[in-house]
Amino acid sequence: MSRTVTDSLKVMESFDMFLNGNFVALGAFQQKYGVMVAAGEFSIPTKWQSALFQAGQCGAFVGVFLAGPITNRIGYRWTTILGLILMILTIFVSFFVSEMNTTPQLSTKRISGQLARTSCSRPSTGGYSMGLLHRQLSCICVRNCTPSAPWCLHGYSADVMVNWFHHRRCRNILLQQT
Amino acid sequence: MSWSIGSIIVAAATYSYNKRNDEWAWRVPIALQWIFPVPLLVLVWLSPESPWWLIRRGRKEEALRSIKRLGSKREGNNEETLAMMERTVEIEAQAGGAPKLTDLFKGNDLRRTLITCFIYMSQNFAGNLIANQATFFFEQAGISPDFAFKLNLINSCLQFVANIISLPLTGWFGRRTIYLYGTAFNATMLFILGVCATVKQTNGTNYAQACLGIIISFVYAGTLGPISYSIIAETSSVRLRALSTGVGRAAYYVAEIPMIYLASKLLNPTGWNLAGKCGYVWGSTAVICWLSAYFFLPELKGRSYRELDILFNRKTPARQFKKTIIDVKDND
Repeated sequence: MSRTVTDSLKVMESFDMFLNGNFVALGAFQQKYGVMVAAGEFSIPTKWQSALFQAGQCGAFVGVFLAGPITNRIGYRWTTILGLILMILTIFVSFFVSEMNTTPQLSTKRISGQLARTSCSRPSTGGYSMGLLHRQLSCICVRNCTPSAPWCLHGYSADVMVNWFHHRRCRNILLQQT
Repeated sequence: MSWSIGSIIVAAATYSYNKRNDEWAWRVPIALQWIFPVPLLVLVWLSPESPWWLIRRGRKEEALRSIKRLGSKREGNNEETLAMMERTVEIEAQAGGAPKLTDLFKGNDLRRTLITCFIYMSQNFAGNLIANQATFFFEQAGISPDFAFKLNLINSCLQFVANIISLPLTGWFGRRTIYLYGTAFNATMLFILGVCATVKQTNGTNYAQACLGIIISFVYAGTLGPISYSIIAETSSVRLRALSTGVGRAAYYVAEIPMIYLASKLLNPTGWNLAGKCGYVWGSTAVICWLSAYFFLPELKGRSYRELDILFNRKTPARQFKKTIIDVKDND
């Protein structure tokens, strides 16, 4: 079961990570939040494009440092539960954020530029907290395996790319510490 | 592996909604994110707390219950496991407790920490950031949006295949070998990509750029990506492993955040709008990675942790690691 959980957390993390990358290329998204670059062609301005990606990574950066102390305090199980609950809530934020700016859509280039600024920043903050949570969660996965066991970080490599065969070993070490 | 599964799901979801021109084109993929945390929440709720954590908190009975739920069905074993865990925690506490962050930068560990950080950071410099926004790259290379999303789906599936291929590859070849060949190959492809974008643009060069983008991310997912994690896991000393992984990961973000800006600026029509010409930039950074790895990345494959400790203690140069023989009696 612990394997299912770690695997799904990874799938979830990469889902979130690649999602923004695809939005930037999405016609409807470009039209709504972008600026016009040629007749009928829209694009998200550079700074918002990078902000969309960076937000999640900044969150992850903070998460790397937060995960340890939080886990030490409330334990692996409760940290994960807390993270997941917050994640569900932040998805709500990104989901409903777009509804706030539907009316001024067909305005001039300038307005749509401003729109991009305000609306992209909101999904970004959602993205920030989600990145943070994801990283926390994956750190917990790692830490679950790490406590003082030599082979365990192999479990981490496994976790990220090739998880099936190392996981078993990881769990055994967690229990046996040979 | 799970990583590429996630990207396949995203690619499929955004591909199927990319033709819609209302906000549901992105709201549906966002809503799809809910399918993960809800069932996971239930699973985690039902799963036991880590026995290690419980023992460290002195909650012995609960720890035993956790071990029973996690562990073997055989009776008697569980008490032994508990006793052993308690003993380990005791020994750890006697050894001075958790290692400190500053320990990473002392003596031989400094070199090992730097290698870990370098490997983590270099993941951002070998063209991988093109793969992270593949769909957008394809569009900028002149592919129609619908086909760009389709290519992205193909790209994700190929990455999955590459991850599988990397398994036997890591078994056959050394870490250093894979890293150097992977980087060299990708650097070459990146320069070819730059050339493709520089010559007179036709339909043919557009497709060539897209194909090169796919090849680069395929090779990355088969060599550099997975091998980096093996290197990271093996370079640091056992005692500092958890810490050095954390610091390495932090270094990765420190490198990635400005690089994301650069990657977006290179491709975006409101930025430099360079499309495939960004291959020159990433090709150059990949060459720098290759050179640093050539001089500083030791071969770690097939060594025990003890052997690695000795090799690092002797300050063996990276290129000599493979040739150096450690005798059973060596104990320096």
